[in-house]
Amino acid sequence: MSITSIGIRIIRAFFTVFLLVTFVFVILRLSGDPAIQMLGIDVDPSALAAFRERWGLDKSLWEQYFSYLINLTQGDFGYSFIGDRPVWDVVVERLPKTLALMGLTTILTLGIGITAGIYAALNRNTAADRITMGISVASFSLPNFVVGIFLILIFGVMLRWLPTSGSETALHYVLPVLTMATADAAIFARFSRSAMLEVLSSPFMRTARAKGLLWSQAVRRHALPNASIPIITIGGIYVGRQIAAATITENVFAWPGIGQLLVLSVENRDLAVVQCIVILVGVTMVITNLLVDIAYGWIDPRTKKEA
Amino acid sequence: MKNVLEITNLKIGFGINDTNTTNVVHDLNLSINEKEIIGLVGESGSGKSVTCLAALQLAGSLAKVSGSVAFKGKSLLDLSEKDIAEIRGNDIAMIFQDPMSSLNPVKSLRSQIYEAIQLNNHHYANANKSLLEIEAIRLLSEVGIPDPKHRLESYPHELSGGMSQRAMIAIMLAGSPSLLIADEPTTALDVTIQAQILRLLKKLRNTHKMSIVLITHDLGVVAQTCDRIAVMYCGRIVESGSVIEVFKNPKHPYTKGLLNSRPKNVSNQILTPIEGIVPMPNNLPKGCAFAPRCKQAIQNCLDFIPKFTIENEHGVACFNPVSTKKELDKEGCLNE
Amino acid sequence: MNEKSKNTKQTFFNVKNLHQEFKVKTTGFFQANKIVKAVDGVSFTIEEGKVLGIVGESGCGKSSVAKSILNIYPPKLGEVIFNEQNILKFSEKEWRKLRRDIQYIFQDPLGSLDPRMTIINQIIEPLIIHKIGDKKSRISEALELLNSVGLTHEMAEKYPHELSGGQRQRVVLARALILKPKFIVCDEPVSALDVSIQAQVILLLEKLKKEMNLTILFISHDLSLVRYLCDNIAVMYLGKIVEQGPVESIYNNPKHPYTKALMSAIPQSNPFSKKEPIVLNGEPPSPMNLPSGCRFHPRCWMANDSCANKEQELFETKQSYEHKFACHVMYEKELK
Repeated sequence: MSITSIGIRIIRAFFTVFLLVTFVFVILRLSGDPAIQMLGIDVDPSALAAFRERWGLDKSLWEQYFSYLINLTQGDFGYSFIGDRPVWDVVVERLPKTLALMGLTTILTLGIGITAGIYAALNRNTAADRITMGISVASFSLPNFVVGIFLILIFGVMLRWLPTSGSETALHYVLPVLTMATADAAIFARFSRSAMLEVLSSPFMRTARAKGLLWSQAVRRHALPNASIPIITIGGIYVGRQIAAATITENVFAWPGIGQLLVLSVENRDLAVVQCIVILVGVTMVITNLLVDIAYGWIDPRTKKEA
Repeated sequence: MKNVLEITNLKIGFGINDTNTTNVVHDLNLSINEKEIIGLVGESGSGKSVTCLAALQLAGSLAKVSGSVAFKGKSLLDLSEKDIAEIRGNDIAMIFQDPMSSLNPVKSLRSQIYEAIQLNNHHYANANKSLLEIEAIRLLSEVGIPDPKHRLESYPHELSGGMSQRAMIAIMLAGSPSLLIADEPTTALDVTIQAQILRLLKKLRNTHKMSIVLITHDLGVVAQTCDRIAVMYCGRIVESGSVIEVFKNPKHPYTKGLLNSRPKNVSNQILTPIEGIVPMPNNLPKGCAFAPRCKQAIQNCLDFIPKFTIENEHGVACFNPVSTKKELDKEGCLNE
Repeated sequence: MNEKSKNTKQTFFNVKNLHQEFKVKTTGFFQANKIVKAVDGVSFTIEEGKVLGIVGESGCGKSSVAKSILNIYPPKLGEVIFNEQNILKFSEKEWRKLRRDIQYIFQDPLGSLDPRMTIINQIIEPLIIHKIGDKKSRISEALELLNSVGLTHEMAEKYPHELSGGQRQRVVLARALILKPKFIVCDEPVSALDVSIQAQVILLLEKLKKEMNLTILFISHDLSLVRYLCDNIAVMYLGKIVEQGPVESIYNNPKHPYTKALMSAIPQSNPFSKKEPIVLNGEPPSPMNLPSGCRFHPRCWMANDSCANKEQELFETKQSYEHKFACHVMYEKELK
């Protein structure tokens, strides 16, 4: 991929994040008064006014917007209403927990999902294939939080085998990871299976065998590289959205990560924190998309033609 | 002449289990001689492609194949995967109809041809890159690809139809096979490119002393390129013999019908189409499959399946063959 | 016949200086979109009741010509005169009316039919759109037409997927004919069909042409078929017509080197006359990088230095003013 095309993508990425930030900025300020949220509705109006002045909420929307942008360029994400701490610190201290959870989930999802899908494709119409696909359908039919709550009920409350909230020990990881990974792995399994099946029936697979390659060799050398193209696309999108996906799971399992922080901050109209997290999510998605595009260009020579 | 390939009583059916099988090839017998180009002619549903695929055990897992296929005396149908893979590419090679999608789109030509060389030419099994390159360039030049060294860098989507087919042929020549099966190799190509490819195949037959099975529906291609012809209809060979003999004196009404229903690039031609449509393999009539469309069908044709009999190297399966000798006029058309 | 009477004769369908372009995306941020001239100054006329064939290999622009004259892709430049009017300037409403006189059939019969409508409904649909007749008369006309194209009344209630390829193409033909058009444009109408079915559909077209005095523009890559069906042909190469005229004159006596190569490449169904086709150098160049002057000169064995500089113009042959070709080298030879 040429430098120009990477450059274009980076510029586009900036634009996307910029639009995202602006959008969130406006929505948050239009959706409720932080002062009332923080102090309560029965408080003296002068206290509310003081709060607003302290946080610059009395200035015009434009002024707030521009000063925010200028601060951003200097790496200043503002201050949290709660505890008056720099937002960056607040967010960063929670980041490792989310990354640990997401990382583990991603590895399990991609590992199990893609493997199961490819295995099913290679053994099409056998019992193994049908069972795998049957389980997948069941898994992704259930919403994420239903599975979560269900698992909590059985393993946490009834059997008392696993803890259901917090993140202190390794055991704490089991339920949240399982919750997130089941549905996602199922989707990957189905998708990988179709991608693989399509490639397996391509004319070039027939050529590979006509050359004298064993089936296993043909699959390894010719089918997998081609099947990986669509899988990488979906994989990229998946990884990019992981931080966003964390929101629900972390809240179900009281996991002290960014997802939980996001929900709390929205409830409290803790504007700067919300904005920071949104930027983080946006940048993550954009970077993963960029990496996927580059990976594409590397694997599939046909894309080298396009900008 | 020694037989390179001997197909005996070949039966091919497709189905999930034994009770649900549809037979597409019935009791097929065919010999292919050394250094001959034989045209295997038929329309859709004739079974011409699947016959050749089955010989190489490439007909797919749903295919139920019985009978025997012998390559230089060695039986192919019961070989293990490893053994048949040895034969493929090495002794028997196959090229297909749509060359552009028959090459792996994400691998360079270099990678694909090196793979073929290493697999099928034992001199190069462990060769280093520079030796492989020399051999690859030699193969590409042999099939007439200009500037082969640079061409190696190309990817399939950068090659034209004619170029990809040549590249395919080069890849399949890596193992110096004695038999090349060409399944409609020029159907998807322009007529001037087709002429180039057919000329190339004839040249290779001479230089490599290779036999070629040319699967096609185009009788003109057969007339210009092949020594022998075998005509298939609904899974059986209905006529076979030398091209000159069969074109001059077609015995089977289907062959005659085909010859008369194709425009022949002559002036003032009279086209006589074959009425009716080709029956589906799971809905074949009792008796001769062609009888419902045949202008000279007799009672036997409706009740029994005609046996294939050979007389003076001209074989036909018909109870009421075209009997009178026909002369071709100076432009190659049969006079009624 | 002198020049004057030639020009005053009413031509049924007259295409003048047709130009068609397509934009192609290229790499890089700052490179402009490249323009491909698919049709570069094509002119031809068709007389009423005659069949004009346009032949050429892939990339020559013949399909683009068809779509341009019907305004499916509005052409960049040019006039199409029908009934003394330039139909390219017609409004939507006028085009609708025109569809009663001009119809078209394209290659894929399954794609052309609505999979959810019964056959009879598809055939009467044009009558409904143009508000012709009442329910009863429409159905009886449609059934009659169904018979003329060789289909039975039982087919009327079936759906496209229940019919074979040949049957579908007949339905497409019936639907095109129900409005009793004067002119039909066919783009590869039979290439997707089995060989024995092709003859059926072609003969049908021929019969209907005679019965209805149809004028046909027949676009095909199948040269033998074109020779059978057409009265006149035009040979295209990379967007230009290189030779045109009466069919026998061109097939028997091609003047332009490309036409010569094309004709020689047609595989003859006569195994006795195995003539060597003229094999052209290389491949047709990419339409994005056209050679200067005569587009064929890089591959032409008769080319000299002047060929790269001179734009082609059409010359008449000695034998017939209708037979024209665009090669000054051959023309100079003719004059000697």
